[in-house]
Amino acid sequence: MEVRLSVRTKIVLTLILIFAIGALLVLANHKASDYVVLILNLMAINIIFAVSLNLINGITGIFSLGHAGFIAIGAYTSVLLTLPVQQKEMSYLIKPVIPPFDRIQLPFLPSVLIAGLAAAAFGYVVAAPSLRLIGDYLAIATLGLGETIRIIANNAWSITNGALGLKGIPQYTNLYWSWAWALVTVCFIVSLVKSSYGRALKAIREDVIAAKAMGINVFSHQVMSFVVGSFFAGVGGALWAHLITTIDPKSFTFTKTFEILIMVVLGGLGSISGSIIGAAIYTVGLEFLRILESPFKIWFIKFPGIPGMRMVVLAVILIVLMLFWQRGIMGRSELSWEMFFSLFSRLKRGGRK
Amino acid sequence: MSGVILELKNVTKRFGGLTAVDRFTGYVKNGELLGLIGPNGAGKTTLFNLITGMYEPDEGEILFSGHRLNGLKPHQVTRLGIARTFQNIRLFSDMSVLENVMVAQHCKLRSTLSMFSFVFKTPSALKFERQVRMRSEKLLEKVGLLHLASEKASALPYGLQRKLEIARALATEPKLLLLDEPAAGMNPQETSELMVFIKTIRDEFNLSIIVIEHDMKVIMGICERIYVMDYGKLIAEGTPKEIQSNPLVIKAYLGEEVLV
Amino acid sequence: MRLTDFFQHLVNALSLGGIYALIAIGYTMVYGILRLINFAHGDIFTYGIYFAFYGVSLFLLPWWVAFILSIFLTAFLGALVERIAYRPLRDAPRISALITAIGVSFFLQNFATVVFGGRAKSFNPQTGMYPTFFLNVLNIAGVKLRVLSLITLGTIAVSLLVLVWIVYRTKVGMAMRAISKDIPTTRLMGVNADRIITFTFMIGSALAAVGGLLWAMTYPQVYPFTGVIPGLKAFIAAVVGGIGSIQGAMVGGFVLGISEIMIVAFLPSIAGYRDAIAYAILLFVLLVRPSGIFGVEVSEKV
Repeated sequence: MEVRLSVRTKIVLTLILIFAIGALLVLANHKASDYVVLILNLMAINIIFAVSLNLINGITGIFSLGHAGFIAIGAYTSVLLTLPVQQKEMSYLIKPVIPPFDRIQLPFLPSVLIAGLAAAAFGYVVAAPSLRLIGDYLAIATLGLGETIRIIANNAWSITNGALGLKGIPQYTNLYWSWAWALVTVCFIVSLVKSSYGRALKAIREDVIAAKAMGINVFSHQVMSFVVGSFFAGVGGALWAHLITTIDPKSFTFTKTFEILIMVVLGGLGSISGSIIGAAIYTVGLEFLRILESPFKIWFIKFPGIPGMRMVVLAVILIVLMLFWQRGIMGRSELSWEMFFSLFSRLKRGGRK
Repeated sequence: MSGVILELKNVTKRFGGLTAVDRFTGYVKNGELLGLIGPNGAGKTTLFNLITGMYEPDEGEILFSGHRLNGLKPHQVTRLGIARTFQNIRLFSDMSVLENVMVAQHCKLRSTLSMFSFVFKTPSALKFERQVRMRSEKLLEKVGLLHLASEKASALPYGLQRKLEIARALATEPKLLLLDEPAAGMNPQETSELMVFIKTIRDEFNLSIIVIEHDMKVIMGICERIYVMDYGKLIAEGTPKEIQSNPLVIKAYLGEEVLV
Repeated sequence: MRLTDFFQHLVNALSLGGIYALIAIGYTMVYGILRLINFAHGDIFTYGIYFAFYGVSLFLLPWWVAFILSIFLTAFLGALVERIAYRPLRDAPRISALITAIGVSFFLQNFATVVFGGRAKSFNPQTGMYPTFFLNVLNIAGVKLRVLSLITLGTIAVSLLVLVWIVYRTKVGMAMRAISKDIPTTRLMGVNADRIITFTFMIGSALAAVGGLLWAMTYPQVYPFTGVIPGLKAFIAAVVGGIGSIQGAMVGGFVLGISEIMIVAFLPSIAGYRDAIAYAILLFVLLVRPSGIFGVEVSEKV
C-alpha cells in the first residue's frame, strides 16, 4: 500500500521527532551516568563523521580514504584556538607555539567554525590534484594524504606539539553542542542531496562521462562535495577533541578512517539515513564489544578477557558484511516517513492475517 | 554560411599511429535531419566525441553557430546547445526515470544560484526546482514515459531505455541533437516507432539532428542528407537516393566493386 | 659526505629498495590480475616474520628451517586470504572488494595483537633467530659493511631472478600473464583461472615473507603493525613503477628505497618526515604520469 503524505505533514512529523530527541537529551543530561553521556556524545560525533564521509564516498562516488586527515586538521585547529594561553605555554615544551596562537584564545563556537573552515580549505587545496585520478588511484592518494597530515602533525612541534600531543583541552563538548552540530550536519547534507546539486552528484557517481555530456561540470561538483565533506569532518574533529580532552597524532591514523568506513558501509553506502543508523549501531556496538575485553561468562563457561578482541570482531563483521550484505542496512535508499507508516500498517495487517 | 548550425573544417583526430578521423569537412543545416553512416570503425562515434568535446581535434575546426568548439570541455559544449546519446546506453541506472531527466536540467542553473541557495532553500532555488520538475514531467509526457516516472532507469525495457536517453538529452534544451545508433537492438516495430519519434521531436523541438545508424531502413527513411565515412575519411555525401547507388559506398560496405 | 659514507648509504638504500621491490611485486601481480589493491599484503609481510619468530622461539627449530617454513606458511596464508575473502567477490563492484581487503588487513593486524601480543618482540641472533656472524662487520676498501647487508642484497637478487624465471619461463608464469590480460578468454583456453590466481597470491606472499625476514634482521623488532608502513610504501612503489607491471614494481621499489635513504642522508634535518617522502613521490607521479613508469595508459571508451 502506497502511503502518501503531504510535505507539510512530513515537516511537522520531523519537527516532532527533533523535539522528542531534544527532550531525551535534556533528560539524559540530567539523569544519565557520565558513561552514557559519553556514548551519546560519541554517537553524535560519529554521525557527523559518517554522514560527511558518505557525501564524498557514497553520494558522489569519490573513494576517499583520507577523512582522518581532515578530522585531525579540525581537531588541532580548534584546540589551538581554545586552549588557554598558560596551558599552551606549559604544553609546548620542545618549541613554543607559533604566533598568533600564543596569544589567542577563542570561545567554542567560533573555534569549531574556524576548524571546519580550515579543514574545508585544506580539502579545497588537495581536491584539485587528487580528483584527476580515478578509483583505486584516488583511494591510495587520499590515504597517503591522510597519512601525510598525520606525519606532519607528528613533526610540526611548534604547531601541534608533535608526538607529545595536547592535553588539558577544555571539555566544551556536551550533549547540546554535539547533537546540535549533528543536526546541522544532517540537515545541511540532506538538503544538499535532495536538491538539483544532489542529483548532479549522484549522476557523477553513476556515470561520469554521461554526467559531463548532460552539461554537468564534474570537476567543480566533485570539489564542492569534497570541501563540504571536509568541513563537517573538521567540525566533528573539533567536537571530538573537546570531548576526549587529549589529542595526539596517533589518534588520527588510517584506523579512524576505517572505523568511519565501517559505519557508512553498515548503514549503506549512499544513504544518509543509513549513515546515521550505522554510526549509532557502531558506537553502541563497540561498547558492547568491550565486554569481550574483560572476563565474561556464557552460561557456565568462563571466557577470559582479551584486549584487542573488539577490533578483531569488528574486522570480521566488516568482512562478513562485504561478503554477504554489501548493500548495508539501507542500501542506497533513504528512510522516509512514508516508509515508516507503510511498515507500520503492514505490521498491523500482518497481525490480522 | 547562413542556415548552417554546425560546421566541420578538416577535422582530424589521431590516436597514436591510427588516424580515426581524417580531414573531415561537412556541415549541418538548421533543422536538418542528417545521417552519418559507414562500416564499423569508420570514425563516426569519434566524430561525435569530437563535436561534443570528449576529444579535442588535432587539426581542423568545429564551429557551432559561429562558436569555435575546439578545446571546449564536454559540459561547456552541452551548455552551448549540443546534446547526445550513446552507442551503449549510459543512463544513470540507479536514479529514477524522472531524476534522469531532471538532472539534465542542472546545467540550466544561473550562476547566481549557488549550492548554498539550494541548501537553505531560498525562494529562487525553490522556483528553479519547481520549474525543473515541471519541465521534466512535461517532457516525459511528450515522449510517453510519464507513467514510469518513479521507476528506476535500469528497470525499463531496452527500447524504453533508449527513449529515455533521448528524452534526457532533450532535457538539456539543445539546438543540435546527436543520436548514436538509436535503433540498435530494436525489432522492426520499435524501429518504425523510433523513426516517427525522431521526426516528431525534430519538428516539435526545432532541432537539427545527426543520426549514426547501421539500420539502413532508418537512415533512408528519415534522413534528408547523408554523410558516409570509411577509415576516418568522408567518402560520399548526398541524398538517400544518391547514396544508395554510389559505388564507393557499396564498396566500403561490401568490400568490392559492384556493377550497378 | 665522505665517499665511504656514501657507499654505506647506497648499500642500505639498495637493501631497503630491494625489500620494497619484493613486497611491491605481490601488490602489482594481484592488481594486474584482479584489479584489486590487496591492502592485506603488508600484514602478510608481518606474519612472515612472526612465523619465523615462533618457529625458533616456540618450536625450537634451527633458524634456516624456520625461515623456509615461514616462507611456505606465508604463501599458504596468502592463498587462504584469497580463497576466503577475495574469491567470492570476484564479480562484485570494485569498491566492495577494496573494503573487504581493508577489512582483512585490519583483521590480521588485530588478530596478531590478540594472539601474538601487542608488545614488540625482538628478532636477534642472541635468541637464535639467525646466525651471529651475519652481524659481523667487513671492511671493504674502507667501507664498513655488515655481512647481513651482503646477504640481503644477494637474497634480493636471487629472489627477483627466480621470480622472473617463473613468470617468463614457465607455463604457470605464462598463464599468469595471460590472465592479467583477459580472464574469460584465458579460461576458454583451458586454464584453470582459480588455481593460477591462487598461485599468484602464493608467490606474492612468499616474496613478502622473504622481504619480511630480511627486514626483521635489519630492523630487529616485530610487532603487529610492523608491515603497515613498509606495505604502504611498497604499494606506492608499485604505483610509481606502473601498477600491474612486474618490472615496474622492481624499479619502483628501488626508486623509493634509494630516495628514502639518500634524501635523509643528505638532509638529516627532515628525518622526521622520512615516511612522507614516499607520499611526496606518489603525489608527484600521480600528477605527472598516473600510469607510472612502465604503466599502460588506460582510458575509458566513450
